[in-house]
Amino acid sequence: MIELSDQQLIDLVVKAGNQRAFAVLVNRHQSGLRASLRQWCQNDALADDLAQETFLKAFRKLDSFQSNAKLSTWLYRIAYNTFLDYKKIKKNNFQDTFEDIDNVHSAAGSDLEHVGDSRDLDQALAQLPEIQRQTIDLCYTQGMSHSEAAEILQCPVGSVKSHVQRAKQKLKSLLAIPATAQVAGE
Amino acid sequence: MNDQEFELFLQRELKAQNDYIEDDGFTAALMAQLPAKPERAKAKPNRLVIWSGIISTAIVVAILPIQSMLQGFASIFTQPSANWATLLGLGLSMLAVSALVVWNDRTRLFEL
Repeated sequence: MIELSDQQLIDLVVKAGNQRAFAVLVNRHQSGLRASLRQWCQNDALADDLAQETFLKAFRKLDSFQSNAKLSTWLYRIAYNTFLDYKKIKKNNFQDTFEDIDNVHSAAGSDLEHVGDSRDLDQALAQLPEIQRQTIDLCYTQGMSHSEAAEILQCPVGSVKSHVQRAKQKLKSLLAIPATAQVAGE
Repeated sequence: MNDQEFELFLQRELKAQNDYIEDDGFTAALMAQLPAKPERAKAKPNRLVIWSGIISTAIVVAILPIQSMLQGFASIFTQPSANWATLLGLGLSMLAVSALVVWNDRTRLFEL
């Protein structure tokens, strides 16, 4: 069976009102988008709700999607704006959620010793400032370029690079990786 | 661990974390909420169309004998009895053009 491209599916939705085509698009992009929102929100149920809202917005505005753009970048941008809108509305509750998560992680992650343990990395990631966590998620977990991340986060490419750099420095110190450990061993 | 090794470690670990999240009814739940059709975006006239409109209007205004035309137009109203048919024709034409514009806005048969 021939697999249709994103653009062909979009054309089917926009021109023929084919909702099945949209279901294929959702199925194709839901995993990455939900994973990112889970990383940003640190709350799976909330992230899935925001992902639903993101796809609904995308469906309503699909006609305005520029065919020269990448659908995933467009979807992530909608998701990021949806996330920001939610944060504005639920500012206090959201802050509480983050504080609780941070407390759990800082208590559990105080004795990080083993480099390479993914739980340690998760705990270290949770302690990063939000924008650094989002940048790391887009550039490393989702494998996007700096310019794609900049488009989604609506900031200059230089800012993305510096967020990545700072995040890496902080992760390195949180994971307690001695800079000389390897050198001494060589 | 030097910077390059740490970079490789991060790439490996974070890529490994990117497991596929099973749909588990996510798409079905979303499809149940979808409106019938996506919104149709308003057609945005591009710059070329706008500028060619402005320039051609300016040329027409510069060439046409506007003053005598205005006098002629005014005479429609100053000579009452003979020109009711003209006024009616003018009104019907304007109505037809307006109806076409509204109809096209709804159907978007022609991209303006």
